[in-house]
Amino acid sequence: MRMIRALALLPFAAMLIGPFFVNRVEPTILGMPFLLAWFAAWIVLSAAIMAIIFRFDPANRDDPS
Amino acid sequence: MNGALAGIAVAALLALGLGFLARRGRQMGLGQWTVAGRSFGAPLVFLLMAGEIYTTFTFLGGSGFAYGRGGPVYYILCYGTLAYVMSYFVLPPIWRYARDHGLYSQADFFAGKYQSRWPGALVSLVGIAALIPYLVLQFKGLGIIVEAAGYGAIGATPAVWIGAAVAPAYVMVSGVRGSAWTAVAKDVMILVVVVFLGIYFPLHYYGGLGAMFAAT
Repeated sequence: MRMIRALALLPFAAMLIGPFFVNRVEPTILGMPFLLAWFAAWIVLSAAIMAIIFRFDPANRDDPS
Repeated sequence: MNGALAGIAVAALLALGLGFLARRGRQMGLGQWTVAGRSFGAPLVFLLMAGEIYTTFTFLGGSGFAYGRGGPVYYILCYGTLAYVMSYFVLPPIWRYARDHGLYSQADFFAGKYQSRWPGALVSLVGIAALIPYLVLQFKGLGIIVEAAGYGAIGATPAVWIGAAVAPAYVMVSGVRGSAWTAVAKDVMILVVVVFLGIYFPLHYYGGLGAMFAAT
């Protein structure tokens, strides 16, 4: 299950490589230009991904605190 | 004295008071002062780190940068998020090592890992050298904020002196506990202000977020 840590590569791909493909204003989402909405969405998604990794990473099994 | 200055004075006194309250009833050894006996739970560590990360840069640098340059400011959203992701892999092992070896500082960690005092001394020196421009920037920002908010009633220079007296006072008295509890107060205030302004300004001046971006 240590492989679950590979999920952490997704935020890097989305934020460092993604903008090459989503660098546009339209369509706006909730009033935000598309690129800003993309980053805002990935901030939330990154937190969700890290929560999943934290839950399943065996490294967090032995540590009580 | 106007309303904004009274607010700043209350905030400074609140920070000082929280700092002194935070040490109440505790014998203050080095372990308590630096790492609070490693007793902080996840919520307090989270708030403390948020308090360390969001500074005058959040208000002055970030917003000014966004207003003046627009799109490139998105890098802040990226580096903040990606730093949190990386810290998941870096920080817990350091924390466990420090707990197991009874370490208190970054310098302790390097001295311990490399079994030599020199890396620790080097890290200390680099840390202090790096803090100087950081402190200058922070105090400069503080001075500008107080001077602007008080309409010049307190100049930037006296404001810097007051800040430079208040912050070390409560840090010396209460150590990391004082910083943690002032961070809690600061996080709440920053969040309220940022959410309020972020929603109010676009609505008030443009009628909505989309209209604001369309207008610029």
